[in-house]
Amino acid sequence: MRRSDIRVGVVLIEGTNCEDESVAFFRHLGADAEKVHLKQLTGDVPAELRKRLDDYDILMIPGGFAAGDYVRAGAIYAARMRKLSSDIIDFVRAGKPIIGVCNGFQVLVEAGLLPALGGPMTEIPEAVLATNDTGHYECRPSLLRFENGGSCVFTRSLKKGQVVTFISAHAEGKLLFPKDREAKTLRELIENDQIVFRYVDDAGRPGRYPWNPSGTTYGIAALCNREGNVFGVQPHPERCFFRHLRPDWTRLTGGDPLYGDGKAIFDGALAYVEKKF
Amino acid sequence: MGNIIVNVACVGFAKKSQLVRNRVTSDRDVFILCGGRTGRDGIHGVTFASVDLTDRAVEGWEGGAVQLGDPILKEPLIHACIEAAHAGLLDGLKDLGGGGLSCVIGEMALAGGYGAEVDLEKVPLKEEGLAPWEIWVSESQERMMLAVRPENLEKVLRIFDLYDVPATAIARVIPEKVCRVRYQGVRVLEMDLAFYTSGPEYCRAYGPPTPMPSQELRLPPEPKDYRAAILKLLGSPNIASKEYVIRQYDHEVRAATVIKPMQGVIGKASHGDSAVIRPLIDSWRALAIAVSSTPQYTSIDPFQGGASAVDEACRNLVAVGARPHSLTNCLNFGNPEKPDRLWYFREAVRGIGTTAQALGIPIPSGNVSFYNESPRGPSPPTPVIMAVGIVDDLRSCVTTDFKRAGNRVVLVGRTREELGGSEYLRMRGVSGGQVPAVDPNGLRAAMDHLLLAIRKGTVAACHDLSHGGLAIAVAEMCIGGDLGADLDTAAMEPLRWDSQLFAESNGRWLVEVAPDRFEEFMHLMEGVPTTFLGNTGGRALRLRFGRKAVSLPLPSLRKTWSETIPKQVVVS
Repeated sequence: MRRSDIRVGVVLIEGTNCEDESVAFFRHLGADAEKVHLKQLTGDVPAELRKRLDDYDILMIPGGFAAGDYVRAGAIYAARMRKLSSDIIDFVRAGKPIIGVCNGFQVLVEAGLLPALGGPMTEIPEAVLATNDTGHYECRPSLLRFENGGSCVFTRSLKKGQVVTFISAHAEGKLLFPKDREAKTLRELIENDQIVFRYVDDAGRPGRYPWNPSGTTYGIAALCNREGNVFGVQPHPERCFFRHLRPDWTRLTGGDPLYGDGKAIFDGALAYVEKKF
Repeated sequence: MGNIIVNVACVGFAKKSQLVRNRVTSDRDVFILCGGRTGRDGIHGVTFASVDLTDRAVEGWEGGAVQLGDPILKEPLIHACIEAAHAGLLDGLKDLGGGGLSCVIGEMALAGGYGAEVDLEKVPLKEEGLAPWEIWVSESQERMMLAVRPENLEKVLRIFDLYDVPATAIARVIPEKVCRVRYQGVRVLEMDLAFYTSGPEYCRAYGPPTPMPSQELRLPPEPKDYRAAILKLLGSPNIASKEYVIRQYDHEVRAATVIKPMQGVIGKASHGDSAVIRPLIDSWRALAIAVSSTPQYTSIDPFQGGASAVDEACRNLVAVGARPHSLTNCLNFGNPEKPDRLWYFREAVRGIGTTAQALGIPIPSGNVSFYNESPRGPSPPTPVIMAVGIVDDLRSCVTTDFKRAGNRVVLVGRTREELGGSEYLRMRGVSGGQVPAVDPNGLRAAMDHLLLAIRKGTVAACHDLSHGGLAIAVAEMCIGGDLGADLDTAAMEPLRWDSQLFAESNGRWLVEVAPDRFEEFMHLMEGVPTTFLGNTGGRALRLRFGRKAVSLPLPSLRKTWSETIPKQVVVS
């Protein structure tokens, strides 16, 4: 498939606030990206505004405070998405990529699309992104060590052990599993190669606060499903898409003159679709 | 508890071709009220904001003068308004502020040269039973007023429907310049619009307080322990790290913040002078944003206080490499019915205006907040300036953190014995003193030269000198760069060491320059006072003056600077 034919849908509802740049960056890389309101996919709009999920090759749930994050972060968005469950399951089974960033990661977990141990879209969430240990919002750069052995289709240009800089900006980033299955779930995620990034400190070791801004289990910052085509990442890769978005770029000499670490995620999704379809 | 002042500024980006005016355009325009429903919250909100917060006054205002915000309605409201504006469907657009409907409709109509006819029963309400006057004056939040031609009405309503934002036609333009309000067919108000909308002009008495705040300089004895003095200053609330607060706001939203509020080594960053936003990904042009405020100086000398706020805001912009473009302000003062409060206000405005004019920087907007008083007296007179500047190529921006060991450190600007209103004298418990004066011509020249030096890439780091003076500026540069420095102040103006280190004279920056760019830098700065102070390097900040010397290891600097605010605000 040609890159310019790849259709990316960045799906918003009220409170989503990262859709414009996400669309712009996909377009910058040559894809045919657009914003689409969830209502347009669920059919709750006049006929001329309706869109179908399979109009798209890549779906992105961007960051923000969808529906005010009332109930739990991402819960209302996910509940409204369930109206599309069978379409979404078809989308995932077809191997098309879905990415959720920050609030979008929370939505994917609430929707049962991640970690998706019990099927492509479990009825009941298998994990939760709980309030940070500090009890408040944290906006700070995060160092993430790439942990994935190759299952995740978004990150194939990265090398295992490589450390990237993304931007954390969330109040609920602490990934928790049901207490009685915590160890088992974590073991499964490791065995299935579903852990994509872990927070590390400036020496590359699993870090405590503020390196791990939320106190998340095992330092997990990003997960994918078993097949690797559904990917949720808590810190924002798009906020380090360009070199000059990296917080310490005025200190750097050398390196890519235009792009930052986050571009690899967008590129990865497009390269995968180009090859597979 | 005193009267707490909170100022918020908002910066937006738009194409000039897509700007919408805040007035009606045609005599056929229909007014569409969109966004939140109207309720009893926020009735007389602005009137409340202008009442002395004495205990007695507050009692009478318990009926809900403060509006209840709903960000999840506001957010799609913004989307819908922008989408309608971009589609060219809007003749006019204005937000509902103080006075609610009673102000917005008349103002939009009169500005267009027309009048308006309103049907109040069409306004969607939060609750039953609001009297017509309550609907008319309610200041409920998240509401905007659109002026739309009848043929565009359906298209606009469809956009608002997509975003689930209520939008209702409630009024229409009429040719006569009157405001006519009906409620269920009964006329409840009709007034000449020019009379109704234009404000009265006040002529109030003003004059300086007696006695005037002392400007006489009575320097306390020199500190015996400079190390302790610097650390104490570094840990004082006005100077200490605000990271705890900064990190709780999303300063990265839109993925366009190219220079952040916290600057330096990741995990060790220090305060920056300005943040820089890149609005368009296909251009390197960027917008720098800085804020300054000078309540301490303004309390002593409001003219210089206002002038200093402009000076500092411009310095902040130049420190990242941005040319100051325009200013706005929020002027927080006491009860203007009291002659001394009004005098402070007049003098501060004069200081701001004179300086901005001398620098050639426009002030196209502003905001005034009077009656900042509490049972304990007036809040300090607090002019707040927000300045924006243009960066031609963001790749030449600089930050405050020291970059590399072995670089030169240069002070730009003149230091005077200006300690009035300084953090240092406050720490020493001394009031009064000469506040920093402003020299607009000197500032203008220094800004021009320094901007060129930054654009040419000769500057590795730059920080303006403000609260706490030289000692604090260099400490922050060390903290952010995780790098020490060794400075000797002997070449500075011959002042006592505490004046050299802690005076807050305007128009100054501290600059880091690589040795191989030093000659070029000094050449570019010709005509501007500069003083070579020393070099970066080591794991401590070392300051010397004759036989006096202090050494402050980086960890103790960082610890003192970082701990104050969390300790004061975290309840554990």
